[in-house]
Amino acid sequence: MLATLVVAGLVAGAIYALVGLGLVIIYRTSQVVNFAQGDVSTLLTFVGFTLMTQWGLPYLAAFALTLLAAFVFGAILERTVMRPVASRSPIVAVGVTLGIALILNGTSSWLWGTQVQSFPAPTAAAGISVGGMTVSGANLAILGVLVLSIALLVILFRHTRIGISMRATSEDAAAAELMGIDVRAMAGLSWGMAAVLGATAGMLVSPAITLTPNQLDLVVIRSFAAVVVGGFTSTLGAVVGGLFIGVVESVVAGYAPADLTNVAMFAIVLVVLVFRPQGLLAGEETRKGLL
Amino acid sequence: MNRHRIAIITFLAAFMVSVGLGIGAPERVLAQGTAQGVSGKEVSLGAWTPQSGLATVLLSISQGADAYFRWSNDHGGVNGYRFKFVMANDQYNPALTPAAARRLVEVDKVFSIVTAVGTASNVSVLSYLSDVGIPNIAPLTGDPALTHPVRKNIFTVMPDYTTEGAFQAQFALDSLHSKSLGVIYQNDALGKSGLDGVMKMLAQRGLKAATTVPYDLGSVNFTPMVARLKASGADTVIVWGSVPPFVPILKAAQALDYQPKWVAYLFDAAPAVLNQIPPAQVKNAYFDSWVPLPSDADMVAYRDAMAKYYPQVTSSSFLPATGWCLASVFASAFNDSVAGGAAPSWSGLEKSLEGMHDFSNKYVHRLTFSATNHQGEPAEFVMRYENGNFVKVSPYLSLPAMH
Repeated sequence: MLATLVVAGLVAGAIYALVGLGLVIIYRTSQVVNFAQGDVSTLLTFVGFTLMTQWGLPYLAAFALTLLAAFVFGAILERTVMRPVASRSPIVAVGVTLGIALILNGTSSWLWGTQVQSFPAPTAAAGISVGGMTVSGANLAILGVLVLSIALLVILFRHTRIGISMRATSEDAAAAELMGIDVRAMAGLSWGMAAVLGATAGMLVSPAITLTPNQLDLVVIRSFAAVVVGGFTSTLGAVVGGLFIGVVESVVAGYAPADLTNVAMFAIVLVVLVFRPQGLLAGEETRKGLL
Repeated sequence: MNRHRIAIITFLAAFMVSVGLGIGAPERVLAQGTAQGVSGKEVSLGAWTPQSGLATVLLSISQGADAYFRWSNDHGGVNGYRFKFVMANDQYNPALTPAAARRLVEVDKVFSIVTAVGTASNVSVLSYLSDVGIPNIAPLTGDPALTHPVRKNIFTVMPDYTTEGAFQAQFALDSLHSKSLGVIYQNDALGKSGLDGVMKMLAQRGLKAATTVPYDLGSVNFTPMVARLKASGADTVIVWGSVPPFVPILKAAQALDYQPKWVAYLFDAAPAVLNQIPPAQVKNAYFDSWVPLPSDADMVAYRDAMAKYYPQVTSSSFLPATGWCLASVFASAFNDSVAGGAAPSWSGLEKSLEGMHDFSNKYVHRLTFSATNHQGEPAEFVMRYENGNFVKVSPYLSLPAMH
């Protein structure tokens, strides 16, 4: 049973990690804690849902188009809503993201209704069996997409001019600007990437649960916990933190008194905040050439 | 005198005048008599409902109620009266419900609250509505606190969750012959009320649950909870919670090769939900309901009205059907209260409701209220989902007395 719980936790943790990556990338380049990440993700998942159910596109085509739409949407959001408040106090920007969350939530409800929607699965593949335990094709896809996302981010941040510019912006925006980097464009890029990561999480998790305007509310809370544990300034930390939170949640729920799941999870968060407030992996990303 | 002083004095003067007029004071509503919200032959009704926020899935209940009143208006109204149904958004957040309720009562001046949504929401304004005295008819909650003890102005139709949980346990033991009963429940007031009923019924029989497992609304990983149910050896599992988690719970069971019988309440019985669940699990699922099947011949007006007024809402769902049926109870009582030309009044409406005994229309079954009982529905049936249709597997069965 332990292996089953760990795998289920890794799958849930992969979703937390994808959403958490978006939180970290925006925070590193814009210094904004984005409370709209869940509602951005949900709205874009509804776009993918429409592409499949109304336009008749297969999952993969809808997935690709949704990610494209997500990037454009995220970049537009930064350019039209966030950039005008970029020079204001951080609390103003946080307030704006809360406003965005409410508006997008209402928009999703208005456009797609509030009823539970059936979201098509990416694959009907049976999955693989290891030691009597079966990992479904959908769960393998979630884990695979997380690995692929990490690989793409590593390539971006280590080996591309844009990625290196984003790293420079996250380290010292003023110095980066003096070096000729368009730091505002980097912020737009980060919002686009965060929306892509959120849409990816939404498209992957919706077939397993159901699609409603509020489906990612708890996921976002878990993702915040993940980035606090891993380090709000660390992409590596978001991934490790997401997987860690997912596994802890799963194993505790499987063995400990059932009411202790949240207690255990947030006790860990508190301990990290007390003894290592910057997060477990903060600083590692610089050494490893990541954001 | 500068502008600020003028503004402050103007504000204070307006405040004192409004206090003098009693604007915003519930006592004033009482003093006006009991026919607020009636203008000629138009009656304003209101409900708070989640138009945004965590539980927007429940908005379709209010849309079903609204469809009923619009359909009624289009067919001449009730005894010549036409209804205007006002919704106030409380986001399913009890902290926002008092403001929504005050807006309905004191600004919109509705005649009655009808089909207001939410357990915590309704509980949060219990005192306020009782102080005002305005009727709160057929609220969408099964919280026993609303009707135990009896409150003059509150009449619930649907069974309270404790009674419903006990009914489900009774059905599992007597009809499904369960030897080992497990419960998975949402870790909030809704889930815990249902759990309470299950445990009371088991205690009455001298039995214990195989296990009881909570989950948080919005979870994406139900494997640990279902693994615990499987490890407990439960041959029947009662599911108590909101609609969305029902799908991943049964999917997790399929992934773990666990196939107990499932018992859940009617809101889980939505085709859009059940079509996402492996058929091997759906065939083992039973749902209790006091609302007639949306596909029943008697529900043709409901289906037509939903298609006309809310075409985007799936009428095969029990959620809007529930709103429709609840609204019909108000309309029936209102019709009786104004019979013979009587003016609409709160006391008349309450008297008519308390006079309902074994009342049935196409939408409710043997509804019974009295001066000492304001919880009306005494029976439920059980159904399954087979080949894309709901099929009754029991007649109406009396609910156990749990209070």
